[in-house]
Amino acid sequence: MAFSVHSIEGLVYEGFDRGVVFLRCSDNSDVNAETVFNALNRKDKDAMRAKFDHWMQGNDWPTLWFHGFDDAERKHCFVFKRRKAHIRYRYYGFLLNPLPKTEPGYRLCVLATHTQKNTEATDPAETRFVNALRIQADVIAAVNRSFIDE
Amino acid sequence: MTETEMPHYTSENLDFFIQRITSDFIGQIARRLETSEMSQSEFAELLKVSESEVSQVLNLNRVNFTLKKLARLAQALGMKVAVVAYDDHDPNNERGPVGSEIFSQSWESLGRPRKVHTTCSQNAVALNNTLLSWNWNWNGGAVNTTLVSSDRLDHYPEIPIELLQTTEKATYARV
Repeated sequence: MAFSVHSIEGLVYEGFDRGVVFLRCSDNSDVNAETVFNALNRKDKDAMRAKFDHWMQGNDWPTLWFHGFDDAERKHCFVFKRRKAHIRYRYYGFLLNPLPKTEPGYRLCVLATHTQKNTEATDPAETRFVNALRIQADVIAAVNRSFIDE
Repeated sequence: MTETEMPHYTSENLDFFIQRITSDFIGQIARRLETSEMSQSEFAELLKVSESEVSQVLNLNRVNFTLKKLARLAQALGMKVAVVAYDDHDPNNERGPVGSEIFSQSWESLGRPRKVHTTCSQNAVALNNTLLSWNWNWNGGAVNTTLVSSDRLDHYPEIPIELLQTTEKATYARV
């Protein structure tokens, strides 16, 4: 499958040791985070960008906006949240460091899927899916094409 | 990233910038609420608004507020608000605002000083001056503004105006 990673329009990445990007896949519509984000109106898009920025600046809170997961199975998963008119939306992704040699402390959040959350607990299928993407060779290759570690 | 970077989305106009720094402030409020024992409904009750309105605010579905409203949000959680001007050598705002938590944490790491000459290092004095200054001259220079909430920014002493380092018309906001 043809994967690629893309920066989020309007965010500035330089100078931070965290980044948020979208994973794109031309032949898997389940990888839809970027498509859904791009379809948001300007106000909602800016609210999400504010949350991305907030995390990139080093904040690990509020969990109302984003959080990782503590358990071993999901420890590399990450979620950015949106709630509007009582409906909860989630952008799921995974964390990794694409620059282990040059920036050992760097953390990249690769957002892959978007879903409407209907239950209190996270649907395990969502995190399982992004976790599987995280270790997929062509996904890793796509990240490495955008983040050159030298 | 290997892609060419565009300027920060808030560089387009002042409204986007204000919404962004307000979001940052709301992030501080949301964190404070999460770490307190107060529920969203109790918070709403304190503010005399509906829980739904609080949810809208915390989820950034509403980002247009008066300074009075922001101060009220902070006050309800035992915090205060500072309006901060700073020069990050980015006059066109191509890199976006500096997060309010950075100012708040810096102030705390300086020992939460109450006056500009309590600290000895030049950097600390400069930071204090920045924390206490408010420059209205948005269009006149490389000055950005951010909102900082803090639980200890109470009654500043009368600050000698000559100690404020920002360029023109400097004063400080007490809310």
